[in-house]
Amino acid sequence: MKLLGKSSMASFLKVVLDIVWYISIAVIALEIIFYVYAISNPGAEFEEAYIQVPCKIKALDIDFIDFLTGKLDPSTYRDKYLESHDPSNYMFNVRNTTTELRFRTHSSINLFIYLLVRLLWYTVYMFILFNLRKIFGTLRRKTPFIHENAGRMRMIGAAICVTQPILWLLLWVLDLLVIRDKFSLFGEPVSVAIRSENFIPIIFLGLVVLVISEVFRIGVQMREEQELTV
Amino acid sequence: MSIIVNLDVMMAKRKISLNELAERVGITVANLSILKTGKAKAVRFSTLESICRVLDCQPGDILEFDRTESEKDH
Repeated sequence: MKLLGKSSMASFLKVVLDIVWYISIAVIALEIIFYVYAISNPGAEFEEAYIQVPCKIKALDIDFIDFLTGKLDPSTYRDKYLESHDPSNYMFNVRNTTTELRFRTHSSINLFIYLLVRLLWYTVYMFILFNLRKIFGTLRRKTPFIHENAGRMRMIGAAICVTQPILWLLLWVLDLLVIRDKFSLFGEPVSVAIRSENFIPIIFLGLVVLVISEVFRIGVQMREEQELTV
Repeated sequence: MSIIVNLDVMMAKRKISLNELAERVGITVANLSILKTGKAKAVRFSTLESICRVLDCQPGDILEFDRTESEKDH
């Protein structure tokens, strides 16, 4: 199987990345427009303007064995035991009950904080996608060892490493202002699950990409020396 | 770069053109031009040997070390 050049795996992946890029632009633009509209019209009810976050529910830890063995059916406590402390502002349902809390809110500030979290995530996602497209473009042309690619990889690695703590901070703010003390399940408070096991592997991945970018930079130097050897 | 290539001086002494030298040495005109203009980062011994044979000279006639440039670089 041909991996580099025209009609190769790299070429196929470049096409896939291009398609994902344009679809992502459309989806993200629509979502931003929708959320901005929902934020600017706090009185209106939008079925789709919801907040969905990974949540930590203490009570579930106690009954986890029951949950695993099927004695505790998530659907039975979905609406029965989960309570909103402010029903006029929070209408909720729980998806995948153990991990995700999904609810609608009339508060513009809540939606704004949520939009900030999503915007940060989308910015990093699009930045990485953009640079990957450029890198795969050079793989299709069989010219991977160029200064631009080393720089792109370094920026991807740095973006991953830098944004994860910021995302962690924003989720913490979201938890503090929007989630905490607003819901309870079996009488236990519900809060955003900010788990280190979710962030550390991603930061590790960012560091790996940073190191590989340095390998690329050395590769560029070697190529230049090889080309200028007579 | 503290290594100065005096290939053009030697070529003028031997009255040989770039094209002819490239052909007789067995490298491309583009590569010989890189060497002549001082852009080359390295020279293979085999290339140096061929050039010396064709121009009937010593490596020292083609390459020169400039100490002042070297001190500037470091």
